[in-house]
Amino acid sequence: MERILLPERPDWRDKARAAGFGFHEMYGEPYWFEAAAYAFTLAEIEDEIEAAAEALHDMCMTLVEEVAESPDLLRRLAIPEAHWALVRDSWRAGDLHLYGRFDLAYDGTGPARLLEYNADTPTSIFEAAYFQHNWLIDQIEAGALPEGTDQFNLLQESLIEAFAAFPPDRIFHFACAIQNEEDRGTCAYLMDCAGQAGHQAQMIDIAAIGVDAQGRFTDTASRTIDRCFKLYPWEDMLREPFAPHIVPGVFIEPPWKAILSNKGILPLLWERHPGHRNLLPAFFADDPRAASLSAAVSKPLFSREGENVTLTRDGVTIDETGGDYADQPRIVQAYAALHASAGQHAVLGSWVIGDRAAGLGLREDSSRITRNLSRFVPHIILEGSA
Amino acid sequence: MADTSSPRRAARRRFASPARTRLALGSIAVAASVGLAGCEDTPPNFQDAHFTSVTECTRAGFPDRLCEDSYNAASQDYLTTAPQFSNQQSCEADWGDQQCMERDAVPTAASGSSAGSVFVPLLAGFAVSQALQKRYYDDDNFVYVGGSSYGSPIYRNRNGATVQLAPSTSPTAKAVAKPVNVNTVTAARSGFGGKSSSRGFGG
Repeated sequence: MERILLPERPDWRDKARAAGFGFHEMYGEPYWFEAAAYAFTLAEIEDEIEAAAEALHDMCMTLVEEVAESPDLLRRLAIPEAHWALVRDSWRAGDLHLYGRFDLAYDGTGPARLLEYNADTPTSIFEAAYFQHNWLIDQIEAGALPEGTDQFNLLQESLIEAFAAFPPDRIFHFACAIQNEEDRGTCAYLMDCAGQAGHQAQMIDIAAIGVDAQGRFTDTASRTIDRCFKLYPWEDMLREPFAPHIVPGVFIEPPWKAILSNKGILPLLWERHPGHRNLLPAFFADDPRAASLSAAVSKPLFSREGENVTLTRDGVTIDETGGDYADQPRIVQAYAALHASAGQHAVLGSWVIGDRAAGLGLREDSSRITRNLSRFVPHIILEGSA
Repeated sequence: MADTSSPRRAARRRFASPARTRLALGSIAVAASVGLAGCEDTPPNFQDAHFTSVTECTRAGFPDRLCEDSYNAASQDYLTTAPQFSNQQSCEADWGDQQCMERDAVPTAASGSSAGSVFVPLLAGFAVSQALQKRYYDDDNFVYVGGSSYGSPIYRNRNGATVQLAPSTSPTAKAVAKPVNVNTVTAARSGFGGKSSSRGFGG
């Protein structure tokens, strides 16, 4: 694994705009960065990154099976008791899920280790699936990369295949916070994939969803919503006024994903698979064993984008981020060094679409805590690599 | 528990096909992105429309041809796709009192050929889908004759709500009367999305 420098495509911002990728620059900071790329060997991709995603996915699905039937564990994961039956029924009904992104620490010298799992509202799918694919083709054609350069990226076809698993028998609504450009762009891209799978897709603002007298969700034309992708977290929805109306079989990601979209799975996985090569030691913050980790990262159960994360060494705080999640229960995980090069720390996003590892997207940050302003950087698999 | 290593992969494989092609976006994302950028010359925002008659449709401002073709197509589809019942009671049990009529059996993919009469729910109206409106908008010569997913018959179920039939996935399966995207009345909105976030909700 190596971070290499490459020439930027001179018209890449025009291409981003043409594809609706308006959020390639946020708050004046570059969000997509193509003056560099990460290069992997095929063995690193297959044996470490792809294999890790599949192993972790299997462990997670087994964990869901256990948690869905356990009030004790549901409570530990801070899922509201009023909705335990919904979570359990959604799992028993086999509600289909679409995707998730494992965030991994990997530097080419040992196994990839799970930092956290974005199982409910993972973003950067557009960059990983579409934009970095076309970047690769452009760079090969421009001679900046050799013929035969590859990329771990089956994401778009996997998404279309996963959407095709839903019969095209009803409008596929897509709900997000429309005023947020990044969320709207992600939703629009997924709608496009659903359309390519034969669905009639329609976007709706998450706050525009209504209910009728029977408790069925409605769209802005007052038609019932019978299937709805949502880029909005379960931990929020389950605590909002319309939560009592949620039934299985409507939302994607389905209610049972609330079990996985929660850093509480990290201590639970460690407890069930201690010493697993793809896991880092992790404990709930109130567990006395948490103090045994000399280099540790403390994170809230529900934070996103690296908010409210604290790095400690021997009990002393050496780095921390602020945010809105300060009051939540926390977990503590052993610190794992990220790949560091040119002052940039890299987190690997290994995607599972449906039940299959389907691609990789990387983000890098000048800080060891990856945040919202971390920039997406493309990757390649070295041509003819062993 | 012992550390279990992932199995070594036996086959070396590549993720790219030899002939790499650029990924393309379909029309939705392009239209969405163009709309989001505030571009001026986007086509109208078509929405599905339901009518009980051609007159109602043309009065709403739709082109005569679109209304007539949609109505004719819905009537045609109604002949072959309306759920068929062998007696009035079973039809009314599903569709409500006085919501059914008797007619000659029409051979369908589901029923095969059969003689005699059957009971079917009344045709309450027809749909002019956004996809169909766009076809007429884009192509002056387009004529819709039915048999696709563009427009379809509309029924009224026993609760008075308008429904369209979900197409079955198998050509020989009975048409399943499962109402989807039913027209209803919204009683309340904004029960989700109250958590404000300037950063969006992705992670």
